[in-house]
This record gives sequence, structure tokens and C-alpha cells, in this order.
Amino acid sequence: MTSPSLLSEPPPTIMPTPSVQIPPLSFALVSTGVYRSGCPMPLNFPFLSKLRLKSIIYLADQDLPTDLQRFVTENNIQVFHFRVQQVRGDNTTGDNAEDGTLLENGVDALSSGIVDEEGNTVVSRRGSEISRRGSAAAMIFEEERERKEKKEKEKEKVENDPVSMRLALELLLDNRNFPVLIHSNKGKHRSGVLVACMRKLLQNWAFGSVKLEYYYFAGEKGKADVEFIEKFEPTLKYDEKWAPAWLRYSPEEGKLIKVTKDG
Amino acid sequence: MASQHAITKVIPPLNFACVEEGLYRSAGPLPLNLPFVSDLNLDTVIWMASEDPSPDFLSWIRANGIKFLNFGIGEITAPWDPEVERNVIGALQALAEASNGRILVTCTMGRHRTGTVIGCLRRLQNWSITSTFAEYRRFTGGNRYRVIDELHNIEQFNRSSVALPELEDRQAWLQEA
Repeated sequence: MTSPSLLSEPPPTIMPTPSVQIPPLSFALVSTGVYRSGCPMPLNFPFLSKLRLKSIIYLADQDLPTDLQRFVTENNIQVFHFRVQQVRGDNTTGDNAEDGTLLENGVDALSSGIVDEEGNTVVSRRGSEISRRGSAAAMIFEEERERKEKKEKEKEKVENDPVSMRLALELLLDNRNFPVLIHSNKGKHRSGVLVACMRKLLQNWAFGSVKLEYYYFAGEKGKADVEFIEKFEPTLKYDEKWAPAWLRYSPEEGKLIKVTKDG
Repeated sequence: MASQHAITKVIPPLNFACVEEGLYRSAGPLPLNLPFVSDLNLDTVIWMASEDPSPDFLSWIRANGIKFLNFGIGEITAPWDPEVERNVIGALQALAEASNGRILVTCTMGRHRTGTVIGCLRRLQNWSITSTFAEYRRFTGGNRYRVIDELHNIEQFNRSSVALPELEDRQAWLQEA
């Protein structure tokens, strides 16, 4: 892709250096036609547009960020949005779980806060608030109260949602959706669970290998996710005609049901 | 005698991942990984370790008529050691050839040497250094990355040292390099 030079220089004789490609955080190819990543930002769009995505599986409780929404509309990408929450209440004794949610929410706030509904950056809005010194104390108080409420809410357990996972897996069983990008906020936990379920249920990977791959992206957190992945045995419907080439499953454990989809 | 327990699951080699369509990376496959690796329909194996691959893997390669390219290097201890440089560049040139088809890049553990080749490939693809290192570190583990790989061999990698084949003879994922 070459963009016209702003300066009217004669065209260089050697090939121009293509611009730097920045894949989204935690980006990877999962299997033919399936990618995973964290939430793509505008600086990732040039890279993203080269994937020629047909659809996106978006796993998050918040709306698609405005600029990404614009990108998918312009590129005619279908978005399958599953409003699943970050899993909370990791049943480990350590405090890792809480750290994890705090971190995750911190980033949530940041990424949803980068661009507001009008497309203005919230950073500048915050800046102006801080400049109004008089209300600063009240603002801090308010923020503190909100944070406490949020923390209370976080104590409630949130588990992986089996229905969303099943529906998302069925989308992965239909190659008319390919190339598809699975993405969640950071591309670690929610995306990781879906990819892990795909490895286990659709590609028949040994559980140890599935778990290893999950932890490449998630780091050390996510024990509740791994337990979910191990226990999750849904019955999935798919049409052989549109089945991805990488589909492998052992018939004796077969929970895949062949159906005929129209189209 | 075959095991009493029928193996119903496939087991990818350690540190296995898809890099691009038809390009894979992993640790050296063990016999228990071969059913999985067979499924990849490989045309070429690029071997990056100076140690020999396991006899099982080698005989599997021969039995399946897979091209075996040995760019074996020892543990990387010096920045752009001439031998390392020659072999990494050789591996990259082989990767780029469309005629080598579906490729597995592999060394003993699939971390540093394989990681260096894939890191340099990402530089050829013009990935940002941050993204390249993030991928490299995903497989080395958080504290096992090597500055020598990252700073010298990947960051300082000179893209023009690789003689890429003509566009029509080049892999699809290197068309814009």
C-alpha cells in the first residue's frame, strides 16, 4: 500500500519502505481463518485492514469503542458481540484474583475512556477538570465513592457464560465467518477461554497443551477460566458443508451434531 | 505392544504456534507429537539447533518425503556471531521461498533460536519492535528472554541482508516485505 508523497519528490528508485505494522496487543493467528487479539486501537487499523476480516467475535460487556465501530462499518465487518463480563472471584486462595480484576478494570476504564461518544479524548476532559482546582476535592471524593462501589460489585462472583461460549464456538464452526478475529479487552482471558475451548472441543488438543496456550497469553492468572475450560462440554451444532478444514474431534466423545444450515 | 489406552487427543509439540498461514513454530517434535504434526501437511522442516533432531523425528521426516533444511546453530552467546548470522539469514531465505510450501521452524525447545528467526521474520514484515518482542517473549517466558536475541539479533537485524525471492516466488505473507 503506497500513499502519495506530500512532497513532490521524484519517485525513489528502490522500493519504498512500507510503514511500520503494529498488530493489536496479544495478536496471534490461531488456525487458518481465525485470529485473536486484544482490543484493536486506531494505530492497529492499517495492520488489521490487511487481514480482510469478514467478522469479529467481540467478548466484552461494554460497547465497541467508537473508532473501532467506524472501522468495522467502513470495512463491512460483521460483529458478533457477546456481552460477557470479566470472570471474577477466582477460587484461588491467593490475592491474585483481586489484583487481576483491579488491573483489568483499570485498563477497561482507560480504553473505554480514550474516546468518548463524540470522539473527543477523555484525557483532555480530565485535564480540564483538574485545572478547576476548586472542585478538585469534591471530584476526588466522588471518584473514591465510585471506586468503592465498583469494588463492592467486584466481590460478586462472575463466571464464564456457557451459553455465549457455545454460540461463539458455533460461529467458529462456520467458515463463512472467516477470516474472523476473536477479541476481548486485553486478549488474554475471555479470548483465551474461547480459543482454549476451540482447541479442546473442535481440534481435539490434549488438555495440557490447551492450558499451556491459555497461559502464554494470560500470564499466571485465570485459574477459574482453566477450570471452566476443563469442565465445559457443550453440544454443538454445525453444518459439514461449512466446517473449517482444521476441525478434528474424536467421535467417541462426539458432542458435535451435524445439521444443515441454509445459505 | 500398543498402549492399553487409546490416545484420542492430539498433542502439539511444546511451544507450538501458527505464525502465518502454513508457517508453524515449535520445539523439536517428540514421537507423541507426530500424529498432530502429520496433520499440518508439512512440506519443509527448518531445523535451527546444532543438536541433531531425535531419530524418530528424522525417520518420520524421511518417511513422509518432507524436505529437511538444517540451519543448526548452538546456543546464541555472542551478538551476530557470523555463524548465527549466516544460518538465521539462510533460514529466512528458505522461509520466504513459496516453493518450500508449508513449513515448521523448530529447534530443541522452540524458544530462543526459533524465536530469533521468527523475530527477524516479523522485522522483515515490518512489525513494530514492541509487537515483535511481545511475540518472542510469549514463548521464552517472562524472565527467560535474552537481551542478546532481542537487542542484537532482532532489533539490529538488517533487513537488506536477506535476499528475498521475486514476488511471484515468495510466500503470500511476505508480499509486502
